[in-house]
Amino acid sequence: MRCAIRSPYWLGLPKKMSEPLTNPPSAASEIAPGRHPMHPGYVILNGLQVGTSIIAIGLAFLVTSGGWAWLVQGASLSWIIPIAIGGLVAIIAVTSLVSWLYYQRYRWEITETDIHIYAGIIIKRQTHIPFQRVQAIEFRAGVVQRILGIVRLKIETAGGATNKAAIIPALKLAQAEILRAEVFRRKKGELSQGTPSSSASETEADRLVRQVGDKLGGLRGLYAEQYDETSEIEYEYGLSAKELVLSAISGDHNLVLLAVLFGGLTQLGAIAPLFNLDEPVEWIVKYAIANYAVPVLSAILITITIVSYLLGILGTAISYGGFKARRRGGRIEVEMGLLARQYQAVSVSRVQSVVIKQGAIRRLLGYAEIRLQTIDALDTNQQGGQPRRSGVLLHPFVKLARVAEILSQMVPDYEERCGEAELRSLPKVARRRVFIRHVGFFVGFYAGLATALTIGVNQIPTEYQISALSWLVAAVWILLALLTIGRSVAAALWYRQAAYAYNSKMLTIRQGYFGLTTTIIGKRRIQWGGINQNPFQRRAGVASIQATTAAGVVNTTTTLRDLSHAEALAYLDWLRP
Amino acid sequence: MRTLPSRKLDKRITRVWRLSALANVVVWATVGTAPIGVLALILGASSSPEEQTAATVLMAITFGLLGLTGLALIVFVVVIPKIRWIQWRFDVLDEEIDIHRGIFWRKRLIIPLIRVQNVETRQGPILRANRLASLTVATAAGEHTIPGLGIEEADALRDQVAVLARIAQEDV
Repeated sequence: MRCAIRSPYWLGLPKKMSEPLTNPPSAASEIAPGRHPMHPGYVILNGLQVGTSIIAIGLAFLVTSGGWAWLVQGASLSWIIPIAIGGLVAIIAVTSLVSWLYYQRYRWEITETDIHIYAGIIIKRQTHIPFQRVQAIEFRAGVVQRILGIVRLKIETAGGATNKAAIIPALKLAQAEILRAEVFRRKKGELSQGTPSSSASETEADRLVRQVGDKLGGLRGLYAEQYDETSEIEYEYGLSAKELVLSAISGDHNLVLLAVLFGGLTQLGAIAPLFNLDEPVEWIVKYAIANYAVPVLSAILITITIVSYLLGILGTAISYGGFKARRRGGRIEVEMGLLARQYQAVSVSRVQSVVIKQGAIRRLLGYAEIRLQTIDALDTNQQGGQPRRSGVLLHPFVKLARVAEILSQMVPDYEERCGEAELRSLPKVARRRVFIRHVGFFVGFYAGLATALTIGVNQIPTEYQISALSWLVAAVWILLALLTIGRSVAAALWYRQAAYAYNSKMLTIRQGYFGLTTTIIGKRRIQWGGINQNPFQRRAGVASIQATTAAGVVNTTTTLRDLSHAEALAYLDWLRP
Repeated sequence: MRTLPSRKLDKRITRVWRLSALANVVVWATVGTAPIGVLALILGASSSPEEQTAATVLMAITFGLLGLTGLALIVFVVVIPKIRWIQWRFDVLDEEIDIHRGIFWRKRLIIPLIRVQNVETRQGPILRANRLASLTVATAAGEHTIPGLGIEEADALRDQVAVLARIAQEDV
């Protein structure tokens, strides 16, 4: 078990580490015994980071409280500037001092069986993590860290409900890599089969992307040092230039943008008659509004859409740029990010389930995203909330035809999953229920609202009627009709696609509306499962099935609604060991 | 097709459920009703006719709320614990724990014993007063509790599960 012990220093007074320090080896491939400090770059980095956030909060407070105006009015600039600079320096000095103290007191150590971390300025904490319980190791490096060549190392364990990660805030990249190799070497279950593969057919653009990725990935910074990984890469792939661009332009957030644009334009159409002013205003104003208001507003709207679209593409390119995934023995490594870079390493035996996800647009193109669900841990300094991303992104954008190959190379256990042909669909009654759930309630609610609006508008005496209002009412009804059609199609698609299958080793659940999500769970990863029935399902003779794994911070439940009762009971029997 | 699990909770658990439901209803009724009733009494003491009318209305609301409270008492204290007890069934088999529960939303759970990481009996003051205990099994993905068991039964089940779960890998 992983444990955190408060050491019994009286009154929690800080006390220097008594053991002698051993310097980390400079270019060796193993870690010397003894306690090691973290990289001193932490002092500056953390000081800067905390300092800037304090300053930002201070500035925000000053601006919102109106203290700014008082400062400017009541005082001459000649003494504001020195005070501001002084305060800035003081804040950074104090935060750096605290960081320095933390750095001074911080030690990490690896033994034959555990990683030990000793940390804390006033309250001392000792953390011991047996290698056996390590779920995943993650490096993160911001831009500054990458220039320095240091990373923040996060060790995730399965510690039950209080699932917190141990962190070494700053470490030379080479040392982090040695540590990672060491941890995985000492965990058993290394796979031996698998063939090395390299892509022979590389286009010019792919080569460019790879080179840029190598340059950026290879930016080992000032202190990183070189490190040669000993265990061999058995399978590796990256993201080609075409894939990167396509993935950026095919995200489903683009649909949202389009919807917003469409909605905005129809609203403009609806309010256009408003601009035909009858009031006596300056003719030039009237002329301008009548002729230019709608085009100008439309242009603004379109510009905003295009800009956010481009920003979205840029964001995707930055976060997935230089994407690489590989398997070395029993370990999966994924790295990505053009500016801030992230490396994740997870043991194949820790994968809880595989999720293959297709957004609506990507589905039309025949591409999917593959994610491995693993047990995630919260940062020790992150109180509650989900981690930014859960699990390991195995591939952000892959042709559907290649999914099987990637899975068999990266997670060989999942070879035993059920084939497409084995998927069983739901009984007819499920179709009626998805229509009621997805269309019926929606129409019932919004048609009521629209009717109320229509009646309300009709109550207005004719002399006050504005043509825009009747336009608005019509627009509302048209929108409702369109949405109803959309939701009906979605419901029909859900019924057609929803399916499940299981064999002695694996459970597959597939469902989705315009998109499609397939979840594959190993039977021995299911911590508990069952069937649920609400009163309506009881009357219809159907039940939902669910399987819960330990993935995520607490757990992850996958549910499929409306199997026939008999099939649900059969699933229940399958859950029995 | 499997039949429902065979074992039932100790009947005394309904007493515990009734007690906690009673406490809940009384607290909520007091919080919801008392301020209105007090306001009604204060306004009723005044001599102005408007305030007298307001007091009458508030008094009516108070009595309405008291009526609702009575209804809630019947539903939550008398009826629901009984149905919940009838619906709650479980089994500890050789390889799994099988639980069936729920009044409107019925749930049936299977917890394989090889996934059980630890098992414990718990006893709060109210359970102790009724000579009951609850059994909690923890997996890597959360806990499940069988709430009302006789003390001996709970202890026996705990030991049984502990023996069966010993082979479970704590490692996920």
